[in-house]
Amino acid sequence: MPEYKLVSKNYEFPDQRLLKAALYRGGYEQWKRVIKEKTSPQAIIDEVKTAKLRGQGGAGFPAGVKWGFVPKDSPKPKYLCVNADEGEPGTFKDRTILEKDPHLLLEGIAIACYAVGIHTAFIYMRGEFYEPQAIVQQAIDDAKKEGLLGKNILGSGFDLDVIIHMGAGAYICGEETALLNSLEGLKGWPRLKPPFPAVIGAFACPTVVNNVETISCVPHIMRMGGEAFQQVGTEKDGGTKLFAVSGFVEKPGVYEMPLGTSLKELIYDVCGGVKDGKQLKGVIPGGSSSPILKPDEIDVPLEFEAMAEAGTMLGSGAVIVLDETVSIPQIFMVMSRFYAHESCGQCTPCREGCTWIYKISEKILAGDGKPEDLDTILSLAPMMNGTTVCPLGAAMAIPVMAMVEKYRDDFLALMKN
Amino acid sequence: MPEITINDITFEVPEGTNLIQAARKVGIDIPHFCYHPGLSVVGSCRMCQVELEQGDRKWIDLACSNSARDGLIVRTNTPEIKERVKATLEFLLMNHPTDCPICDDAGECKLQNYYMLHGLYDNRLTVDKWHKPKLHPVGPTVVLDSERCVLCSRCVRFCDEIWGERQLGIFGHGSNEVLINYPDKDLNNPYAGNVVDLCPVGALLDRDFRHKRRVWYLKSAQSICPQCSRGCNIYVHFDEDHDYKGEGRRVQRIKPRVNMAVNRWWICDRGRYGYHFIDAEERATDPMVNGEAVDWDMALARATELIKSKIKKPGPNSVAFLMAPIASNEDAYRALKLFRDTLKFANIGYDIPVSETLEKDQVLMTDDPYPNRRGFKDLGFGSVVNPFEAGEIVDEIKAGKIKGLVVSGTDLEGLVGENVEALTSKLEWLIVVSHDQNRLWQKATVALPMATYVEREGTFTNIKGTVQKFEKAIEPIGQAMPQWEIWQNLAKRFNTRWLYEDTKAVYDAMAQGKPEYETLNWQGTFGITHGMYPDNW
Repeated sequence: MPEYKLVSKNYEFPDQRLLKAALYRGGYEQWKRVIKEKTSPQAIIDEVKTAKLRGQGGAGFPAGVKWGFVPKDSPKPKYLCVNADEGEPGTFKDRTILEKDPHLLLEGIAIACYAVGIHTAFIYMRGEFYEPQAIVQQAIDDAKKEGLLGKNILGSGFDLDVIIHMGAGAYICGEETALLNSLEGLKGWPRLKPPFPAVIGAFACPTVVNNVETISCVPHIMRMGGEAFQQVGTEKDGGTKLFAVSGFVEKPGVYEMPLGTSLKELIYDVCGGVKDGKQLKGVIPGGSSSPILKPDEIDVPLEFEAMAEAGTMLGSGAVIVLDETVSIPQIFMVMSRFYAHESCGQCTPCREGCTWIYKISEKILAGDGKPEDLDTILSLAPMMNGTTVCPLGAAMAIPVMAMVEKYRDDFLALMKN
Repeated sequence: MPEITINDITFEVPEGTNLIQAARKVGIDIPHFCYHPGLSVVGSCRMCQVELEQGDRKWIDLACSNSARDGLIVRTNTPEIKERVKATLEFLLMNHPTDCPICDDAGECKLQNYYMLHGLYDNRLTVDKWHKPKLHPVGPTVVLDSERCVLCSRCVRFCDEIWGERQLGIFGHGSNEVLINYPDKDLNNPYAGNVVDLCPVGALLDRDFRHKRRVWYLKSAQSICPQCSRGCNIYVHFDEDHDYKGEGRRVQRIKPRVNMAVNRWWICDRGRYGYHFIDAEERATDPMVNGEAVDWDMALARATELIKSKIKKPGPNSVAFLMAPIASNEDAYRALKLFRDTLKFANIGYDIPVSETLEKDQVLMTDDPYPNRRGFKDLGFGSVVNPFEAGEIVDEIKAGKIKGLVVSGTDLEGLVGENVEALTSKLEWLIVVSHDQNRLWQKATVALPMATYVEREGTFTNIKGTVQKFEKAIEPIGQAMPQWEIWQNLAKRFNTRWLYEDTKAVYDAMAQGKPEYETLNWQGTFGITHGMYPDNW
């Protein structure tokens, strides 16, 4: 299956970040149509539901359903938080939208806010995204000048303020409730759910939290119609997804594929296969939090359900290709060090478990490991999965178990003594 | 009311009851560290995972963040739950120094207790533990050992939610994060000591109690704090058997006793640390006549002579009785019987100002440092007896109109300031009843030592009119005796009609026909128990 470009359609034009160029290529057309035709908000939500648009940040929750959870009669203000805290190791797809087509995101924000009745949208951006911040801020300013955002948009009486909030560098703030705490100026600790953000979110008001890519799909849904959008993908996962392919592959980069494309096709046909004709060792298919696949497991459709059936997850669509030269125990150590460092420290199993596993991995790498250490890892990890406030514990535990189970011999090889 | 089932016990609880609290009602302790009924729910320790079942849905969730609803089935004893609790405990103990032999919390520590109940695994840690700050003074009264901390955030929430100022916080992330002061903040709020009670482990320790006694040597009596008119319910923890430690200090610490109508789970630091006078060097131990230690017989005989010398002639106007409302209702009742009804003193005052001003706050503290002003008033001090304020009585003394004075429980500093001579020089005699050798004691013709609130039983009436009983913890020091007994023994020398066998008899006489006293159940308290802190949520 070849690439299918929706979100990344205009990536090839270096001037797309400028409002004039974006307008020339059809930017804000759907937003203007919604305003002009006074489309009913419910119709937009229904269209997004029909499109089977799922959260592209990793969790895959249906976006239209999420919007529907926001109470309609709440006397409080409502907020949209666009999650641009792209921090999952291996993931670099949202950054391309922010840098190459910021107006697509803004148009999506405008339509989403209109549909849910929101007048303030925050873009919570990863702290290190200095350049995307400047680009998106310029885009917001330009769109405001043009009357596409701000007060009384295009004479419709609808107001929308878009505010960029920069994170401070914590991975956990990409988790939606930690993001909200961070946005409020609190420590980035995830909140207990329920209540869900759609009911009590930012500043204790109903809040929709969506990934950059998810929101950027909205204008395309409005253009194509929900049904057509869905048909690009699969029955349950509509549309396309950006895949950030990295590692030992001939042509790394961001590729937009219809959902349901085979992972094998993506690596071998689209990205040109393993670099320098080496043997494939394994593929981490959806960011570091997704369980690794062995070479014989990669012929699997890239969609949420099928990936789950294959014992892994679609995640953020960050495909990391590992060739035969890669040491899995080393990857294991680097990964567990990341989670041990980024665990927010709020709840026990994740706080202590990540560090414990990381320290064991260091020991194994130093040649001091014992086979019992692998058993310890395999008994600790399940206790971090589903026992914590947020999914970070699971994001560490599940891939860790997969690596130890699938590449046990590689670990044992380091324990010769 | 919703009917819920916990481990096959089905019972009714009010809608919305937290599951940990509901389980306690039927004697099931769901293990937890971060949950406390007085603080917000954060669900961070993950110890209270239980299996829930409702209709055809079955799932595992936290007990602390779920509340009772009709038909809910809770299980705390399934193999999966037991495994999770054990695993959480193992995670918590991973970086814990397990230095129980030198930890003051040993015996009251949740980690210890839960390990014995739910852990009992073999240590399989083969990597190093974190090292974190130890012996860090987070405030004037509390010291922190970060290595022992389980990061439950109870202390943080206490400062935020109960006191209302961020003084402690958890900084950093991952397993080397630490509990520590906010920048430039000291844990110096007047309720700081409560974080020690809240701390489920030995991380936050009371500097006042640290390394004083092992808690299993302590005994406990239920008492009422005498440091202000709130009447907070407390435990007095004492140890008379190990006097080789602590220079004979018998009372070791004060802990709050839960009373939802009065102090909830808290007490202030003034109450917590205000017990040192009990075993202080200045304690009055023997009756004195003109500065010479004598026995009770001699002292009371002399006091009787002195009172008789004035009461007939020049008459009741020449004598006065000042009684500070630090005394119990029984003391006040017996004193009124003597001075008002038998001796017919014309000048009786109780409304004695204090030099110290208390600042009322939003939590518990009132601006009245006397524990029993309301009780004195209810018994008829002030209104019925005479129109005199204590200040006017002092003016009369200074004017030379009053020649004999009986004072109990105060050194009158709030009335006469530093210059006590101005008062005593005008008096022919002065009888002082006091628990310490205060400056009036030094000047007294007859000085009589009284027992403190922990050395006897009695009742106080708090600012809201609630009558509350305090129990006897330890024997009175030296020859000291409860104040009402002093008055009764004195009264015997004036052929009194009113004789009471014990404190309860005084109380019963006082309570007869008065509904505000009858609400108290004298027998309904528990007596001396072991001194490990029982309100340990």
